[in-house]
Amino acid sequence: MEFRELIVENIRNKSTDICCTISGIPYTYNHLEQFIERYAQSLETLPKSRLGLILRNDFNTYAAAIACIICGVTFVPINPEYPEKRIEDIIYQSEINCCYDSLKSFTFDNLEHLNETEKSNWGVPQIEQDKYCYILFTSGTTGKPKGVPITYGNLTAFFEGFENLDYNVNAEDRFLQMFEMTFDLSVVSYIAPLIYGASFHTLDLSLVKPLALYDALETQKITIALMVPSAIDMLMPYSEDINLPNLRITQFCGEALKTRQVESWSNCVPHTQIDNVYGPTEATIYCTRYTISNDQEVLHHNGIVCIGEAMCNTKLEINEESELCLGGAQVSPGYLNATDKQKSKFLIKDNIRFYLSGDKGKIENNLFYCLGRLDDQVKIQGYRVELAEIEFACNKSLPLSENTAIAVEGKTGTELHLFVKSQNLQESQSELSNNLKTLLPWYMVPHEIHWISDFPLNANGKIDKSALRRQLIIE
Amino acid sequence: MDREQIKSDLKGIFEEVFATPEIEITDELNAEKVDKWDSLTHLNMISEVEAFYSIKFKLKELIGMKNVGDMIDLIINKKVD
Repeated sequence: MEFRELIVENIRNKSTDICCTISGIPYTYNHLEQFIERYAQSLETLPKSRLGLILRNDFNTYAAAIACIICGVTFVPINPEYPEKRIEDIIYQSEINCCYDSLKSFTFDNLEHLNETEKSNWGVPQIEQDKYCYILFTSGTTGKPKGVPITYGNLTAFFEGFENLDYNVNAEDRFLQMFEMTFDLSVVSYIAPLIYGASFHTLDLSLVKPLALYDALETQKITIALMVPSAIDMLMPYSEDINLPNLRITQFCGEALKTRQVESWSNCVPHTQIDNVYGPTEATIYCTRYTISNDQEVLHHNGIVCIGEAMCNTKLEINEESELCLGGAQVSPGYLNATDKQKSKFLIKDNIRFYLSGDKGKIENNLFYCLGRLDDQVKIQGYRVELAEIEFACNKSLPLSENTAIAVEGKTGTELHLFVKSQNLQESQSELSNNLKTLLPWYMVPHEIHWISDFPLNANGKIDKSALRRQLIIE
Repeated sequence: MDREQIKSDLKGIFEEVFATPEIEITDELNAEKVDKWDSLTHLNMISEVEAFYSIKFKLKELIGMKNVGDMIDLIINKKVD
């Protein structure tokens, strides 16, 4: 049975069971069924169109995403708090003409809202495997977000791979959902539990994130948690208070996992299985796994934990440029409206579709290691950030300035710093900071802006980023 | 400990951590009212407060802390203990 059919079977047979708690409020599979009954008819009229899903932290927003997946409607998550220009780019690039907003307050040109209808019968329509299930937008070097479509075939392959991780998921399991829905790690967090008749549980967003995370893990008695590694760093000063007897599986993804983080977490939660899972959005959520064994040394390269082996529907290779190449049924068909350069990131080899990840890799004893980036992309709390996109936004705000963005390891994870040389210091300083907030999503806004009179140059006459990094360490 | 004295101490810590001049410390003050008060600066502020008073909060106390008034209550209790 395919994953959508399994979800529908659970919706129909487990109506009084809890399917999720959103900010502490529980909802049953019956609530989900009632939502789908009210929107299935409207969704059926959108087979060729794409639905913009306006993200609110409520049950109906999750129910709408789940309804889209079941009914075969491509959805595009849109955070209404993102800068207006970014939202405009996403809507135009993904050709959305209808949206669902649980608050019904989102307005954009002629965008219509999905209609609620009388309750209607609904089922699982046949869907071509190459149809887009969702489109997520990631940071792009040209200043425009890049659309990554994921097909039903990609997602089916992912969930087959997930099943083969042998977590023995059952209806009693309680999954953590800590991610914004623009981030693909959210998809496994809220869809996987429904396949097994289990439940997912979100964070109380009135608390600051690390505290909300611990609160959810403890009070919701989470058994399976997928987290970005930096999320636990901020909890470590309070490690002696951590008591999570129910947490049987911890997966880390979205950022490089460090051996010290594994050590800290396994000291706090000694009975939990820790898995490092790896993969870019273009290869659907994650596609490799390394399980940390209690009785063996953690395999690592310079303190960065091994990413292990490919999942069952993925083929992993390292090309001549030492780049990790991910192939197989989880690989996206390619970027929306791709430029030639973007198209070249995907290729067919031996009838297998590959994505060139831009990550540097190595293989040792049949296990893979990710050694960092071959380009300027960095991760901030799991979000991909192209440094060029920050520089582009700075140039837009201060056209006559020279600037460069760099990322450094701070006390609580990776921090972004922007160095700017401008003629017009007085006016620029306060303006730039405000403008960047309106041009960039929150996770791309630099931690600090440094105004300098001249850039240090290297032997080739280029900006010496290492010297700037050293300057930050001295500061 | 004197509540007003604690507010005066917190004013210095908050202005430094949140890089914001002239923060008025009230019992109702919380993250919504200070622009630079986010997850990262929140935990920096907590660690500065702990160091200043030589105290240690529990995770559950931090989760239950809804505003500055709650924090002052905890500081007073911990200093009495």
